[in-house]
Amino acid sequence: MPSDAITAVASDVACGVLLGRLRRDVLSRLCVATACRGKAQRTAKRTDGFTLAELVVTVGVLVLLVLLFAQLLKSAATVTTLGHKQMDADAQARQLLDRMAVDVAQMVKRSDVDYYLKSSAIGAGQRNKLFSGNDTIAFYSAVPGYYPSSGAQSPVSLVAYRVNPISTSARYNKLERMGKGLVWNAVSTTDTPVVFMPIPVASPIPLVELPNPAPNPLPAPAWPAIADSGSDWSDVEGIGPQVFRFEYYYLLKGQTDPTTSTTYAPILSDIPWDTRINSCCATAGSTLCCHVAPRGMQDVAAVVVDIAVIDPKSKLLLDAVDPTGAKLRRLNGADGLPPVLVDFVAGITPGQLLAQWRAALDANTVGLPLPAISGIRVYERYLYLSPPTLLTP
Amino acid sequence: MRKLRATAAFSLVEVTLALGIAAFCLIAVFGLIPVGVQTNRNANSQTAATNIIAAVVSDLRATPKANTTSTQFGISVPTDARTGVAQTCLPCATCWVAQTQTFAFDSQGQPVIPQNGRYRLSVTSVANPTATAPGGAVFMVLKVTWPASVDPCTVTPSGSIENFAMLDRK
Repeated sequence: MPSDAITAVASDVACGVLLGRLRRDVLSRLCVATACRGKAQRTAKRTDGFTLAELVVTVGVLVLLVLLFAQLLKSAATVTTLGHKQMDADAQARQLLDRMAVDVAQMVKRSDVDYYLKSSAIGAGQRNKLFSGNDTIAFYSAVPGYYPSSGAQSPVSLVAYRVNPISTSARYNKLERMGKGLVWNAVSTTDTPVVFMPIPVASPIPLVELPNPAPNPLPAPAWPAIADSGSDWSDVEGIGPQVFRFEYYYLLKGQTDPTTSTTYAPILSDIPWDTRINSCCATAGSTLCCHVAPRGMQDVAAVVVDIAVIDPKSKLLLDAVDPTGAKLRRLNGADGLPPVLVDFVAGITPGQLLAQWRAALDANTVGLPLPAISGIRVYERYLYLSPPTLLTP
Repeated sequence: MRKLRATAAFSLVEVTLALGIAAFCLIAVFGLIPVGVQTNRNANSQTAATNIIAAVVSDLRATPKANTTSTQFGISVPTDARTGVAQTCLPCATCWVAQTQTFAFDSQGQPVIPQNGRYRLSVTSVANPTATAPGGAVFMVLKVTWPASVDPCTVTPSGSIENFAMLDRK
């Protein structure tokens, strides 16, 4: 029976280093209990407890095992943290892009209202509105907004997006959305209602776009704060606290020139109207196909939005090495220089801008901490515009 | 005297039992780690797959009517609402597979070559049964499965998200 017990115990304790020592120990202990009492008396001191060497070896093995498990836990935690970072960024991007999709789909598309849109057009009298770094967009949309406390609410809001450029603001370098609920015209003496051309939304309209003779004095923008990078917006919410880069451009429809019958494929452009169709401009009085203004966004099939998101954990890492936010400003161009996450330029192919952004992040010319780079994710979404229904000629 | 000291200590059997219980508990706890990691990964994958579907539906909706392929992901979209699999065709049947386009996406939700993919998007256009002319809503079934190497029609994937989209393109 003793030998059986020894074998059983020995096979239970599957620890090679200790095996010999334990067996000896077990032997001596069992001897105490059974036959060889004389031997036990000779090794009386051994049975009193474990020796220091045994304890050292045991604790050593224990430490080894604990270290192994700690490694396991650590790698599991790393995987989970990375997953959480991605989920944080994904969740933020999804709710923001879904909100934008609703706003853009419900955009009021009429040629008698004004839009505040980016445009690289440089023709005479055309509004040139290019943003270095983060973009701003403003338009009317048939969605609810923050209405004034009095007055008859209209179903239309003025919706605008930008990354806050004011360094003293709590939302600095974070995406914000204006949702200004508008009241019906002529019911309020204090609140601005929907304004129609020739009153612009935010930036003055060039003379060419105004009716002839031009009104005198020229109508002033109804909400000049939208175009002013030094002004706080009202009726605004921080919709993307993790979004620090916002860029958009347009997908123009494929069209056929009515005069020359030339067919044009859809293109990506930073001008919200099709400049390729120019043949009918020569025809006196024909302005139907020759656009110098958005005119109800009739040439635009979709607004393509690109955003860069940094999750909160990575933002903390970044803040630790960059407390002034200079690296983030270098990424999104808020410091006034061309941004590392580049602007749209004409002629790029679908997905190219996003690829350029990712390549720029991987190249890491800004010197971001490596764990923070993996926390910056970039997204692109095509926000479709339903076709205009209320076009005035 | 010696006997007294011997009983004051734990016996080998006691220690073995205690170690056994501790080992059992530890194994149970450590056994939960892979489960937790797997659940976490599944949740991530589902979020990513939902994002992919949202982006694809936006892209399909933004495709002008005259176009046969979408701009962002290059998905073929029928210009005639009557083209596509019949209503009677079941998913993964031969008639279904013949009309299915497959795309691969990476963990960032970007389109990649199939070898580098983590998510597989299967797009199938279904014939609009009420359409009598080329115009009308185009029906599409979108399914994102992962891992991308697994064909969801032959092997059960570890996860999937399915969505049905109606495109009213103008």
